[in-house]
Amino acid sequence: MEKFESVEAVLDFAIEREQEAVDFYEGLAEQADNAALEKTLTAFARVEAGHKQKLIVAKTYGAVVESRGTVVDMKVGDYLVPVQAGPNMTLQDALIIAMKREKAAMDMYTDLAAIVDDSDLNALFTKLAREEATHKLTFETSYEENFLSEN
Amino acid sequence: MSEALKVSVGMSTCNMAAGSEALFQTLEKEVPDAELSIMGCLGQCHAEPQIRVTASDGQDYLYHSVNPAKLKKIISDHLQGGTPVDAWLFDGSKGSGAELMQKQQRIVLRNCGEVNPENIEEYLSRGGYAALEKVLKESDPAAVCETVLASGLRGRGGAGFPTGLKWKFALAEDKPKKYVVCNADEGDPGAFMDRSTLESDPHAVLEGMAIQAFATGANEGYIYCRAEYPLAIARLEIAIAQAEAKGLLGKNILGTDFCLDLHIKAGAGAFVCGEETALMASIEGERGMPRLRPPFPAQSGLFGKPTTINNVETLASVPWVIGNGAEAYSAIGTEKSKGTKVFALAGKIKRGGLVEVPMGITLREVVEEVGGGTGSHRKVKAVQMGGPSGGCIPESLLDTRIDYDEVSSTGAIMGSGGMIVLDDTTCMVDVARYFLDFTQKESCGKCTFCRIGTRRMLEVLTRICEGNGVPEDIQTLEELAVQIKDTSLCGLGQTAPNPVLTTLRYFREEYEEHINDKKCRAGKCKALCGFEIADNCTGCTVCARKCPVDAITGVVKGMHLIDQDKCIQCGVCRDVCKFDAVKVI
Amino acid sequence: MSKLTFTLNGKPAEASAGETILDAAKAAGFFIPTFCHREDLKPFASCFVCAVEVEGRRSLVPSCSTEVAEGMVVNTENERVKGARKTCLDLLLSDHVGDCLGPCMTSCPAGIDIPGFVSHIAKGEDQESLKLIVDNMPLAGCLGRVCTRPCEEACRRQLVEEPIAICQLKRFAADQAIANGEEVEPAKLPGIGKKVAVVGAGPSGLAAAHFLLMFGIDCTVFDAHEAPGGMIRYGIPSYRLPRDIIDGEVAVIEKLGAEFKYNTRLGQDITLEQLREEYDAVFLGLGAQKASGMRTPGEDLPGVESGIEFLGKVSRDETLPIGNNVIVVGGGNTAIDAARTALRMGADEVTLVYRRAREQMPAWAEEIDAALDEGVKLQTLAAPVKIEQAGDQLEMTCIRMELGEPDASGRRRPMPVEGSEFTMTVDNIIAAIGQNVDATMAPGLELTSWGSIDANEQTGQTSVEDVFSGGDCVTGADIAVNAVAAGRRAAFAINQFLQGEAVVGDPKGYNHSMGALDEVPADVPAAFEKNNRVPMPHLDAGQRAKTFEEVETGFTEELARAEAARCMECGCRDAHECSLRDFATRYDARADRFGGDRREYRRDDSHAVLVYEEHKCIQCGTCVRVCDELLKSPCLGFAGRGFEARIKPALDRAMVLIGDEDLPSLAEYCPVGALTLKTDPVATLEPEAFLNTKED
Repeated sequence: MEKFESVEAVLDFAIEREQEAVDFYEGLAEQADNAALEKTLTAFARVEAGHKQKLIVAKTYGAVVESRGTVVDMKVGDYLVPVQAGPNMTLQDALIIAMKREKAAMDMYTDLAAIVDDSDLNALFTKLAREEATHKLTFETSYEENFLSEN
Repeated sequence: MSEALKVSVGMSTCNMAAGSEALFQTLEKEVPDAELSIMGCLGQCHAEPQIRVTASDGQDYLYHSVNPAKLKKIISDHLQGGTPVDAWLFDGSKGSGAELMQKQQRIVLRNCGEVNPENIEEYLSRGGYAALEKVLKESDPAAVCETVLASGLRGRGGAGFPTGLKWKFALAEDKPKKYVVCNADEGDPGAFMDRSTLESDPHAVLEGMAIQAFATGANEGYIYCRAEYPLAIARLEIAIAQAEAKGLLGKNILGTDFCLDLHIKAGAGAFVCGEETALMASIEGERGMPRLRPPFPAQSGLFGKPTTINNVETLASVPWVIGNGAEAYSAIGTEKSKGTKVFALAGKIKRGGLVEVPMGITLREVVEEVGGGTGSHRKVKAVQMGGPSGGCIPESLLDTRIDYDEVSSTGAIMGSGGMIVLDDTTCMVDVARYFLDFTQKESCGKCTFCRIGTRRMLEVLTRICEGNGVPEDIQTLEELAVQIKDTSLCGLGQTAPNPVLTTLRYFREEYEEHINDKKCRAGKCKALCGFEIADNCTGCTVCARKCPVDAITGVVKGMHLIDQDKCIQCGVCRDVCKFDAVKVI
Repeated sequence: MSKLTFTLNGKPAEASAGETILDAAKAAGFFIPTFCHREDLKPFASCFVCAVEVEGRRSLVPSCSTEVAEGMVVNTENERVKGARKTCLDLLLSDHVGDCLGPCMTSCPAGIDIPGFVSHIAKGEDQESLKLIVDNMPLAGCLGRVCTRPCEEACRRQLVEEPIAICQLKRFAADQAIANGEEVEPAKLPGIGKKVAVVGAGPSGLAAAHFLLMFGIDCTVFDAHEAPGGMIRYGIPSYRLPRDIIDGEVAVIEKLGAEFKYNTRLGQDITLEQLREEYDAVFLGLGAQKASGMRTPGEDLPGVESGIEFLGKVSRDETLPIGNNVIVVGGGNTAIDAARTALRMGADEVTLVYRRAREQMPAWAEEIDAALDEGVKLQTLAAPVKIEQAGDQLEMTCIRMELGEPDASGRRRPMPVEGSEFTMTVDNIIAAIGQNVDATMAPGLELTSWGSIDANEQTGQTSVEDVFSGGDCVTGADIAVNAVAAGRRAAFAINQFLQGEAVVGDPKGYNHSMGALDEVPADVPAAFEKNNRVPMPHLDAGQRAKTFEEVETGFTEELARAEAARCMECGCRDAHECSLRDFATRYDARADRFGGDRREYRRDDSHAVLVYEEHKCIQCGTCVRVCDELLKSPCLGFAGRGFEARIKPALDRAMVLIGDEDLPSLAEYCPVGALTLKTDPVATLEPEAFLNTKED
């Protein structure tokens, strides 16, 4: 846990994670074999860049602004078969990947919150977990509307 | 018992409303010896009823605000005892009476309150019908038109068109049958110049009409008077009969070939009938609906004949102009506005009533010197001129002179003479709404913009006053206002948006406060204000006693408190507080 | 006669002495609208829509009654004039109560003439009825069976009791033609020597072909399947839509001149590039035929398939075997169709598994009821988690769901209840949870981020100018009538494109409406006696559940006539001659720019031949002046003041009491539909340009 000794360090880590996500989607978008997939993945990259921006602001001002209201966990992605990212994946595949990535991030911060003793860090990880949960919900809602329209 | 006295009781609608009829009856019973007479209105509505006692030496004693108790003392002390009751005398030479009269110059109202309006002899004794005789015997129509044109007299109905020019147009029409019309359809709320003149000095108007007919070549005329003015109509009927009996109207007037048949037409009280084409339609028995001009009435007017229409005040000025000459008249006033103008002063004003001032004096002089200011500690906020077609002139522009062009440049209009003084308890949005409500109801319904557009503007204003305004509303009002002015057939529609436009021009921040801050600073719009009592409350308890819903509590000499749950925002507490301790929140 | 010269819109112009600006501008080719001006009446100047600018005049002047003067400078087209003109119309519309076209017509995506065809049926003119339908929409018999009926949702009759059975009457008209062996041939313009490739023989492609052919454009229709119909054949079972109905209606399009090429798949047998080269334009009606996978473990096991696959197979062979016990996952119409089809294929027990509650099921309520009647079981608030092989059978594990609190969009999202898993053992699992667009076979087009084709809503034009598209492949899976409407709009646009005109689709005129059902004045339905909707005859549940016989048997003649007679004939008799509607369309006027009070609904039909609808009157005064000046009978006049001013029969009597013999001419003079003749029919559709040409 030496890596996470300060709020700043934690935020740097989180920012790095969001940048990884940006790179991930941009990379996939470049390889995409059709326009729709490329458009979708580029949109995902922009969403992640937004998340990163939010964290940079938080770091600058020393505060993570919490999203309002309760964040529901629809668990849409939880029961789905994991898919392999690829240039010819479908939009449904892309959304499943996104939901699962956000879930992984949410779980990671939740776990970190459970093991740190420092109360400031604990609060920060909880907030970050919650933030990821809201990202996950965005993708889940989208999946529900587009691929579970009749279910 | 002292010498025989003449007692004249003010018997105009305003005096009668103040209780003069009862005074008259008392005098009839109690002082049978006195020569009891009636008189018209002196314009001092704040001091009515009035009674004038004329001694045998001609000395006048004018009593004001007479009530039965005062009358009893006047009878015993003055009429029977010979000693005037000095305390109740209205003295035009000193005190508030002096201020009231000092700046005034009475041409139109020259006989009002001075003569018995039901007795032609009194009018004649003051030089009446001399002007008519002068034109009939010494002049010709063209010369009369020239004199009137040279005098600079402009139509007092509101538009200010040169009267002499109007007459020349009609005279130029070579038709055997022409008409003259007196527009006595005074419709502006708060205006009563014409009523008062007709009630107090009908012959001045009849003489003016006779001159107008002579000058334009007409031999028949109509006086279009509101049916709501029964006293004016009755006195006009008496006056016409008396004038005809004396050969001053009717066939071969004053022995000349000139004939003039006058009729009175009682209008049903539609505001739009003050518009000349609608007025003519109404006389013809049609619905009072404006027609397109051209053709102008001077070419094709009443029953298709050349017609000259003038307002009461204009016509009442005419005998003076003829009698005193064009130069005397044009010596008064500004470069483009000559003579005098009568105003009905009302609203938050100490000395409300009818005043006649020379053109060129400032609004401030009229309001503060003639009218005596608001009469309270409150400041003048604006002056509404021109009624529903006019606008609000802010306090900062009170140095504007009484002049057609100067007044127009403020966005208001000279109008027929309504002048309403507003103080800081007046909400300017509400004022605009009030006047627009009036005009939109009075639209004849012919033109699309006036019929529907004014209603839509009213709906927006109502919404703003009720706290439901949205930022776009101001733009909607401005757009509609400009387009309604652009696309209406008659003056009613063309001027209807003026109250909104002027308040938007000078009091835009009040609109914005209503819309954005949901606040009415004047404490008028109930949905947008509340009242509270400040610590300068002296505990006089007046507000608590006057509150209609018992929302104010407090002990004598202790600070009072308004229960906001009970308060209905009527504002009575503020109106009655002598210490300005009730504040708008 | 001497001529005056003046300046009109910046150019020198001439006028005779005494000529009004309106007439002079008209002669010079400028359009100025007017309501109140009539050549045979004296100028009146009330409507002010004709107001124009004369330089030097403070306000605008009514051009109808202002004579041109020498040297006058007139503007009839500048911003000030146009702004006032539009406001004038906006104001009139804000105080106008009525409908141009009935709410059924304006809510029908395909724009068919509903009051028109219903009234033909009521009069026993079945062939005329069908003709009116097919002139505006192909596939009357198909849509008469499967349409989701947005028109009936808007039908005013439900304010009396129930909506008119519009859709079933449409089916009746189509069925009558078959029963009587009559053929209805749509109108057709002469050929223009162009040809268009239509890809997809589903509702949008068939509609596009139908209208293209009517426009005189040759069409070849390509389809990957072996038969036409697209989703209405392969997604809708035959007990709802018998195949001969589809074939019959496709035959009409074939007879119009379409060439059909089946078993031809885009991207495989033909490419978009080839088509673009060979044809003048291409219409893509590819549908949304790719089923969304459940993405649960075990989805690939044998015995598990998608609803659309299953229905497609059955459509080809109705004797396909299926197990006794079947689960259908989903709550849409496809799921219901799959469940009812499974019963007919011999399954004993069919269970629908749906994630949300019954109220949220997107399927049509009548269809759900029919399925339950036939014995389909419903398992709501359950979602599949995994599927495993259990001997010969399949074991599906589901988790129970509960609905969460409403989210920002107001929807209650289903959420799994932890630890609530349960299993069901069945022979077949059919997943009908949604379909998607696969447009990868048409490369080079802009797509939306959800993979559908990005096409203009009004024209269907895609990012490639000679390629148009419509239907499910643009909107995602949607109802058939929307696809038909998209095909129709695209055909208009393609015709414009091929003729070198501006591509605008099927421009709709201004339409005034009394508003939503709850805004309709109570007096409107109050004028009708209650008379319930005629129910659709159908086979008993027991009788039908095991066969593919059509469930709904159709109206008999008597029933159809009775049902058609219920129509309230909403819409205005004057809709196609109305100046207000014409100007509102020209100047893009809106009824909602100003809110506020409106006049009351007041309809007087006491007169023998005239109907006076005061709520539609615009107070131009034309009728009053016709009475005064031409009929010399002061039977109509203005009453009241301000906003409440109205035109009324003299002395505020009923119209019946003023009965002048010449009064019928008033209907011709009224520029709107306030005074109309009882004998005129209520508004039907705008006569289409090509139909007029045909009739000439």
